[in-house]
Amino acid sequence: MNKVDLSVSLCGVTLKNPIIAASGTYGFGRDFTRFYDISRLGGISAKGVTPKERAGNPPVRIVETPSGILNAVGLQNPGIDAFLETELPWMLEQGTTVICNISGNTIEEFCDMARKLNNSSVAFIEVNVSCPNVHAGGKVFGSDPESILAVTQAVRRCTDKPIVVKLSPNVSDIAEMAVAAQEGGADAVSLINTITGMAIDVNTRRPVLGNITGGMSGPAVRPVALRMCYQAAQAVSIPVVGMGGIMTGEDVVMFLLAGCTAVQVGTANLADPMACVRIIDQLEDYMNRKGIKRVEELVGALITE
Amino acid sequence: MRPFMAKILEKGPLGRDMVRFVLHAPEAFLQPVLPGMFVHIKVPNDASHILRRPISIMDADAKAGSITLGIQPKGDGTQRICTLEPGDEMEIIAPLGNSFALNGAKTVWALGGGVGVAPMLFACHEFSKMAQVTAVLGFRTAEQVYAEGDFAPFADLMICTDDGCRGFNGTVVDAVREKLELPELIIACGPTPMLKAVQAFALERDIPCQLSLEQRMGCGYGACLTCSCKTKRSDGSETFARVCADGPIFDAKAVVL
Ligand SMILES: Cc1cc2nc3c(=O)[nH]c(=O)nc-3n(C[C@H](O)[C@H](O)[C@H](O)COP(=O)(O)OP(=O)(O)OC[C@H]3O[C@@H](n4cnc5c(N)ncnc54)[C@H](O)[C@@H]3O)c2cc1C
Ligand SMILES: Cc1cc2nc3c(=O)[nH]c(=O)nc-3n(C[C@H](O)[C@H](O)[C@H](O)COP(=O)(O)O)c2cc1C
Ligand code: FES
Repeated sequence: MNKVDLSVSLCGVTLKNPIIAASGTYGFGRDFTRFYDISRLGGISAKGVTPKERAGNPPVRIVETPSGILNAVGLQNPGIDAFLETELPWMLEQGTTVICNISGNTIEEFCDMARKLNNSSVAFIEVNVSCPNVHAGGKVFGSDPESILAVTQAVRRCTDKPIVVKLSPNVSDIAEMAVAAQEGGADAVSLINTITGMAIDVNTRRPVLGNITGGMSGPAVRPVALRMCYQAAQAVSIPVVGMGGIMTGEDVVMFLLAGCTAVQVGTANLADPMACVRIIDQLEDYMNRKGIKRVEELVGALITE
Repeated sequence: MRPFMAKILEKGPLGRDMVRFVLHAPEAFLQPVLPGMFVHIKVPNDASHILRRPISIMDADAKAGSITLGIQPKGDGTQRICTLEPGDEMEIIAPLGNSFALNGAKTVWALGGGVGVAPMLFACHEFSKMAQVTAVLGFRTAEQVYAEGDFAPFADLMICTDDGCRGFNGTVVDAVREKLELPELIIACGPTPMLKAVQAFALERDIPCQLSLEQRMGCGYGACLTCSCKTKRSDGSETFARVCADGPIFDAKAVVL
């Protein structure tokens, strides 16, 4: 009984459902093909790429926290050229929408990657201005509206592809950041990236992570993520792609109601390799139970009075 | 491959500090289950521990569709897993990781330390069909010694304890240094200082050697890049490999400990 319409339109691109695998938690999708047919996904946001290959941070790179995790991978990736040459062609054959997530240390680095991607078949460029595990001159781009505006404007000039600016939650006013991205010419914003955190081993008195601090994700961050998505959606007219702690179909519904057009699923993929397809089934089940025909009816349909 | 529920058939102590579980896990055998591979176990009845726990396959019986595990209840997650009883189910993904390879060797040393003794049993079980295996097993003290009887049919056995209460007084590597016949292959699993010593020994004597590494894992199947260890490329430059998918077994020549 597949009568409900799960498809959503994101900046003119039709996704077969609103579930996108989040960058960094899905690799390039290869590791999931042994579990299920990955063409079922609405999309895949590929592991974040940088201009050159990066080895990432020294171990330990992950630690479990109450209902969450901290990671400090540090953007290990093969570099944009290797991505274009070996990973992207494979991804394009899988029958789902491909998003390329890019991280740079300078505006020029973001632009170089955007130019290279302009001639490729990726559907979106996700501009990651928010990775907490790399340090560009001591600060990340995503922490103030001027730099978000500047990066977005610069990338906008380098590509005709839809650009999704991925925002950091490590700010005091998320709406201001979303507005800056919109003003810079972003086609959508996505949030949240991980929240900076730390874990200490009391036996050794040392930080657990090799990088000392890491990025927190998983169900523990969901209320914060939901609030930020709601605030961002209130502030901008471009679509919002929500994420942070989504583990079930009902979690997806929350983000849609808060104003998100689509969602990304990250940490859930680590806990359960079947998470994305299970969540799609659960969303469909919710719609059947509630008699909702089109998933887009849920977007922004929060009742507040 | 899918995560699946595996029914606990047997549970019992393994020495003083560990618990032995036998699981009915026929789904795992849809792929070959080989020595060195591991299972990734969901912490039961608990939504707050979201990551699974990697545990080596201690032995496997394809005919019976069963897998044996040896688990040390260490932190919160493994303690919860160890409260499960026969008849209960564990949610697992299996089998994961690569495996030890005999590569035609006729004589093998299987070196295990502490919890790292567990995967050596499966390796001895398999390799003894084609090679002469000597198992050298290290523990801190006599009460921790486990699985001696399980090893006996498959390997010549040597027990070492750090405090000398049982067997050889000293480490596994001290013990093998005193053996005369060098083997054609060394396989090892145990704490990092032990693996470092085994690596140094194998490189020094130029004996092929495979080491089983531990790292904190997120997914367990290659997607998140959180389980990295340093490895050397053939040109000598260093890079990171995934312990879960490229390992947990690495060539002693390629891994930087
Ligand atoms: C390939 C592999 C095989 C293993 N085989 C065995 C085995 O056969 N028997 C056994 O008793 N133990 C084994 N371990 C170690 C076992 O996975 C850890 O002791 C266990 O994950 C600790 O979980 P916890 O909930 O008790 O500890 P906690 O400290 O509560 O766990 C917190 C987090 O840290 C992770 N973690 C903590 N210590 C380790 C560790 N040493 N390795 C990996 N992750 C860790 C946990 O998975 C969890 O995500 C193996 C580890 C690996 C990587
Ligand atoms: C292991 C790991 C690696 C990540 N790598 C990236 C990355 O390369 N680029 C990026 O934009 N976000 C990265 N993220 C952030 C996720 O895409 C997502 O924003 C975050 O985890 C929140 O969602 P979740 O709670 O569903 O995981 C990573 C997250 C994790 C857990
Ligand atoms: S644990 Fe995810 S890549 Fe190894």
